[in-house]
Amino acid sequence: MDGETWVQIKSLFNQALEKSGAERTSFLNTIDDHEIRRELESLLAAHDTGSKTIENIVPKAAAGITTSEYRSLSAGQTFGQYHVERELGRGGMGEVYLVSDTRFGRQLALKVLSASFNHDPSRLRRFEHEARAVFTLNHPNIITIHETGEVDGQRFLVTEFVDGETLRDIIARGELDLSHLLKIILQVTDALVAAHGAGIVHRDIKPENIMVRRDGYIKVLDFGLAKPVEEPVAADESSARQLLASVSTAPGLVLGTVNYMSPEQARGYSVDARSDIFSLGVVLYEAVTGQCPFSGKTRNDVLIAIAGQEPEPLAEYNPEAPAELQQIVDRALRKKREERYQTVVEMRQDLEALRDALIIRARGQSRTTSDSASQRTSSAEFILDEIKRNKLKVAATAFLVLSLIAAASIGLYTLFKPVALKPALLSSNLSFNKVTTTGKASGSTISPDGKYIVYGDYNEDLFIKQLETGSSARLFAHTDNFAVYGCTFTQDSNYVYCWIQEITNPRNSFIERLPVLPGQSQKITDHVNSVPTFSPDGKHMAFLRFDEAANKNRIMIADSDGSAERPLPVTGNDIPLLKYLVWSPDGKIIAANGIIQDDNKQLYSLFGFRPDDGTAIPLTSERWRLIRSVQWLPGNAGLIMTAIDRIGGNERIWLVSYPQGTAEALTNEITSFEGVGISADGRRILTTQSDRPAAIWNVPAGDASKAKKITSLNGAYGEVIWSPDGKPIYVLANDIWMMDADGRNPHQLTFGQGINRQPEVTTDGHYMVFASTRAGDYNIWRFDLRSGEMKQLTSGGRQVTPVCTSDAKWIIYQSQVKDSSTIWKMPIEGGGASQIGETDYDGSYLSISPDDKLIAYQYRDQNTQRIFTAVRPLDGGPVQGSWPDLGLYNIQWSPDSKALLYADDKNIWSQPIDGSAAKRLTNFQDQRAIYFALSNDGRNLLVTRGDWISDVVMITVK
Amino acid sequence: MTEPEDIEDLLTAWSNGDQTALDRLMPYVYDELRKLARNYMRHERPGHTLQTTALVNEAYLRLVKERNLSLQSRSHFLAKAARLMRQILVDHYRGQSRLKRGGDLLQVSLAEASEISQTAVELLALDDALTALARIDERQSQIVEMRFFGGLTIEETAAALGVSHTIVERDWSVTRAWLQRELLRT
Repeated sequence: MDGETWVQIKSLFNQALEKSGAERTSFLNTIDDHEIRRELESLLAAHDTGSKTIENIVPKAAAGITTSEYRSLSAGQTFGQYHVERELGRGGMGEVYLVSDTRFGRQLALKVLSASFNHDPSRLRRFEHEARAVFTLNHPNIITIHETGEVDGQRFLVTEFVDGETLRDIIARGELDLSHLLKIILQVTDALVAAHGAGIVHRDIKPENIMVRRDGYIKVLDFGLAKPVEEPVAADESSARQLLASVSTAPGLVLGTVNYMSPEQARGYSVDARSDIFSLGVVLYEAVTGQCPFSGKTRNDVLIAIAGQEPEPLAEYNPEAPAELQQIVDRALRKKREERYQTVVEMRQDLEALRDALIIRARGQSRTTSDSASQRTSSAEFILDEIKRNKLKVAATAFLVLSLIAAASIGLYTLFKPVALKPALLSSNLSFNKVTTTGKASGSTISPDGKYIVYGDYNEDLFIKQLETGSSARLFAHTDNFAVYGCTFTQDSNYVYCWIQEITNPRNSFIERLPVLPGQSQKITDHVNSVPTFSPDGKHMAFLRFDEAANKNRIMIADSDGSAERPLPVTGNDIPLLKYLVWSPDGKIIAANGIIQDDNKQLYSLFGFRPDDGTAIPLTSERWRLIRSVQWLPGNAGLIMTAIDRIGGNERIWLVSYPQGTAEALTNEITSFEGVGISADGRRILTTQSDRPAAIWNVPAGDASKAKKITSLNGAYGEVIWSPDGKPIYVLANDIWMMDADGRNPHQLTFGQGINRQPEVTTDGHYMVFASTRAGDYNIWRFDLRSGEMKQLTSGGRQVTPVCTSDAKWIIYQSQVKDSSTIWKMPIEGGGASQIGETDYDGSYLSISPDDKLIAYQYRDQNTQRIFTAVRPLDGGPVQGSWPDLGLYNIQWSPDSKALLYADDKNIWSQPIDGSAAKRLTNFQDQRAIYFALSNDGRNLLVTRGDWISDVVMITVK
Repeated sequence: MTEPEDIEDLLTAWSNGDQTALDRLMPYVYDELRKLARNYMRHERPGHTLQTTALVNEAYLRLVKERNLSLQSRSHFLAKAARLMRQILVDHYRGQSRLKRGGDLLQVSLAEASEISQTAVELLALDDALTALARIDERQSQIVEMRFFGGLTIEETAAALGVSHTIVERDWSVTRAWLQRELLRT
């Protein structure tokens, strides 16, 4: 079109606009020039659509640019404790940077969420809820969230940096064989089992969110970050079509995002764990066939297919797909979620059975599928490496015929159990922020006004930090002879009362009043045995004092300056009380942490007393293995504390309702939180989170300069050993794993049942024995590495530290009753255990010399409380030597049976049993050496090295 | 590279009638606009939509300060700022559509990539349509640019173009319809 025609059109357009209906039609009929007429008609049609889209484009684009430019970080900049290395990418969610943690030199990914995210409250709420949940869910197959927080109104998220490729990349290369695929998918199911167990639905399982790290670990990314489809519910097929037609179609760009949706997601229903099962089914289907089960030319076609179309059989694209896989995919892809696998555990079982069947088929053995299915939880995955691989080819594209079937009706369902306790605390609107970054924080407390925190460090110095300005100062400098055992703020937040003890003279145990602003400190009262607590008006305080005559703690009440002290005459409860007292906000109850002797166990619980007459008030009938510190919630609504509820469990944050006394854990098992403080309005909760990042290193000849990190460990880790054929076997997240010597190809040997520790493999490579709580307390279990059979060898009581004799015929272990332990011997085939020697070993780790003649064991000396390592003949002869403080963790004999190896702080040492001086085997300069294993030939040393990081974390309730 | 000029000198020169000074001033306006855009969201209430109008006006106020300029001078400034605003947005989204396929995007999920793209597709289509419009009717293209990207009022637009405001208003409907149709085509 030329300018002249355009001038004509403009004029005609304005004339036509003034007319409507038939009048306009007859006006248009007067135009002879066809080109002009067509142009006019199309412009009028565009005008009549009346859409506002044009006006919205620029503001939308501007919002996009401002959000992404809001906090553009560049290489070399620092963001908190993080040093930006480079940008990894940016998107609607925000920007992602590769950063290094300046404290520990590790690489992490920093996601700065875009402000558009901030402006979508429901999405933000869900993000925070999920981030909080994942934050405490430290599973090896889930990307670790290190921190979430807010800086200048800008939310950010720090996660583990995953160096690897996505399942999408692997599928695209077309080299994925079924056994490899099953390894990947099984690890994804592990992640989902853990997440679903914690009430988290992923919502966006797809190949892009499954990363395969270079060493073989699978990491599932982006929990809960995906934006849900928020269209209204369609009741029937035709409205479904309309609805789907209204979904915006960005040409050629969005197909990837809807392909993995479950039917309920596509309809905008609430989703639960079964939605992830569907999505995983789609991933499986695609990985095997190279095709999406539900596809179409447009987004709408795909959504319609998900809602109603049955996918083609796998064999259509891949003739080698086994029938069992078809069954698994079918069950995962049922339209009605009631007909799908109801839990990932069920799906996982079928996948394992398939994996086992493939192993057996590949070996040409004649065992039936049901045989292998009965052992599916225990088969060794690594056998897969030895077998001929079941190659699956990625099939060529094919055209899919769409066949719609009636839409399934799906009931609403919610995975999250009803919230019973303080809604504010359980609401999703919480943020977690680290307020210390030294990694060395010990106890902490917060002022009632929420403005200050006090925390200690490993040196027992005490610091005060003003939260608003972030400035901090040393409140109490430790001296060699005094240690702070705990602090509490006065009700007006002006002073901190600290319980201090003289280390060499524990009877000198007093309360010191330290002013928040610089000023003189003052001793308030002597002979205390707890942190003090204040009455709501701040006029009185209560504390414990040890009564030597009665051999127990008594509650004392005094004025807050220490005067007018008097014992509270407790009636109706004679429980021994410990360390923490907390006065309720209404002033009517003093809650205390007390010990109940139950059989031979010491259990902790909470007890209440009236401050006026000492009458006992029951608080809860729940019991814990340990309660560390406790605080009241505002309005006497309940108590918040950190406690451990079972053997091997981590310290978690708990809520105990008042007056009902019901208890509920707020955090998950894997991360440890120690101690709580709470502001008076309940909006700020302070706790200490401890993290133990570690890695297994292969150290040839003990030379640190040649040490190679073979795998990093997140979450609870434990012992490491060499298998007889030179593969590291190690404990991670309460399960036993095995990998190649270079760290590749990790696979789990035990699965998700109890805690599995202390693996030991017989010299013939036939059995692995280990201690496991899968049947209650720790017992000795045996896993047949050849057949995959799992057998419980001991039961009743507690048995730990199994070790095998070099002839592979005997297992030696400890049996622990009350505080003492005895050593027993049992044939590897089980049965007929007999005690070795009469001595009470009272031990922790033990080790048998390679010549099967001597046993080394650790025990605590009752007088000095030091850990000694002793050596004596296995048959019970006299002790040949004993050394104090040979490490706290595992001990191992040297291959020549002449020395004991142990880890001491940073390095591994060798203590000859002839009594000569210990020799250092490694030359590491940093990190702690924790567990280790020397290969039989004495050449290769595995060392688990790590840091213990503990930082104060602030949980803010919005 | 020449020495950066003093912004005050440029403003003085411009208010004394040196029109080239306005062009030399534009890099500063560009920086100011980007800075404003970044800071804008920080203090914004949730749900508030950003108006480029506000940015352009604020850039003007910050740079020109209390200088009492004629409507025409002010409009010239705003018109040029509107062009910069368009350029900033287009550059930004062009950059993004390149990044989208980049190798470093491992950790950015496709959902995110598609979210950028929707806005990018629309903005770049609008830019193309305005470029096409300029070929048949440059003035209309400028009018759209000033109003959409700079938020200029009809009076300001008219002053910047040196035309009467009826001219600015008259062809608005047809121009809008034309753009609407062009965007639907892409």
